[in-house]
Order: sequence, then structure tokens, then C-alpha cells
Amino acid sequence: MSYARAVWLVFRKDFREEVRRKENLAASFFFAFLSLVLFYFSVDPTRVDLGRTGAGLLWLVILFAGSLFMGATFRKETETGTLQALLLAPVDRSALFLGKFLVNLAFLLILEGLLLLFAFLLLAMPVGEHLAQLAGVWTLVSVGYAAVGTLLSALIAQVRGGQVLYPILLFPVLIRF
Amino acid sequence: MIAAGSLTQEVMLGQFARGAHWLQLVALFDMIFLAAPLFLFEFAVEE
Repeated sequence: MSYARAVWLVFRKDFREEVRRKENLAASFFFAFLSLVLFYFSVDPTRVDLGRTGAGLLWLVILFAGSLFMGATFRKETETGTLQALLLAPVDRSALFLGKFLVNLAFLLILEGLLLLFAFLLLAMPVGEHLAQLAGVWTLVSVGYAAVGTLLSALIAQVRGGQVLYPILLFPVLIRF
Repeated sequence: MIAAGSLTQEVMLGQFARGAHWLQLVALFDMIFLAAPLFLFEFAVEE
């Protein structure tokens, strides 16, 4: 089996599973949406210029919502015992990482697209004027975020209490980023 | 998140050039965290 095919098969399996289960995705998407709605009610737009201050808030929402579904990337494989089966497959193990990274990246980009839409509608952020540049920048940032999230998810997958450790390990790495 | 937030802010304000150094940081971060696991991932899942 070629490397690209192995990556594609892992990607397709995880993508389908997430879309069918909707467990982690729904939790993350609703969390992100509700955070923005709450922010809308908590800020007085006549006093706060969201064009200048809203970007950091958007990234915080993405950070928290993303960690909700990325933390489970390898945990569910461990719980169901399928991680061993995946590791036994006669392919390079980095194909496993790349497949799962691409799934996380895809869901992050969907989440960010929806958040940008909500930010435009709810918070009147100046999103539309530089949409192409914004899409490029957010994609670039998401690549790094998804890579770290996937790697740490693998590291804590076989650790008891890994779910608690995940944000503690992830957020300090991402502060500067 | 400092780089991502600052970069987004500069883009929203139409001052993309001012965020160039943040873009370099993000690109460097991407390269490190995407390239390293490709070579070292097997250690992460080793029992």
C-alpha cells in the first residue's frame, strides 16, 4: 500500500466516523457558537471597538473549541482497542499521524469558517474586506495548531487521566503561537 | 495565540505588511510541528 493511500484511508475513516457520531463535533461547534453569542451580550459595542480587539477573542474560542475535539483524536482509538490494530498495519506510522492531522485540520477550517460568519453577523467584525488574506492566514495558523493538537493527543492517548492533561500540555505550547 | 491574534488583527485592519514578522513565526511553528512528528511519531505511540 502506498503512503498516500494509507494517509487517505486514515483520513476517510476518521472523517466518516466523526460525521456519523457527531459527538465531539457537535460539542465543539455549539461551544464556539455559544461563546460568541455570550460575548455579543457581554460587550458594549459603543465602547469597545471589536475590529481592534475581537481577533484575540476569536482565537480563544477556536483554541478552546478545537481542543475539545482534537483531544479525542487518539483517545477513542485507545478506548476501542483499534490503536493496536492501526499500529500493526504495514505502513509507516507517520501516515497515521498525517491522516489524523488532516481530519483535525479539516474540522478546524470548517469551525473557523462558521466562526468568521458568526463574527461578521453578530459582532460586526470587519471580516469581509480582507477575506482572502484572512483565509490564508487562518489556514496557516490552523496547520500548526492541528499538528500540535494531534501530536499531543497521541502522546496522552495511553495515559490515565490524559483528558485532564491535554489542555494543560497544549495551551502553554500555543501561547506564543 | 499571540501571533495568531495579532496577525488576524493586522489583516482585519488592512495592515497586512505590519504582521509580516508574526507570519514568519507562524510559518516556523508550522514547519517544526508538522515536520518533526513525521519523523518522530512512532516514538509517540510506542508502548
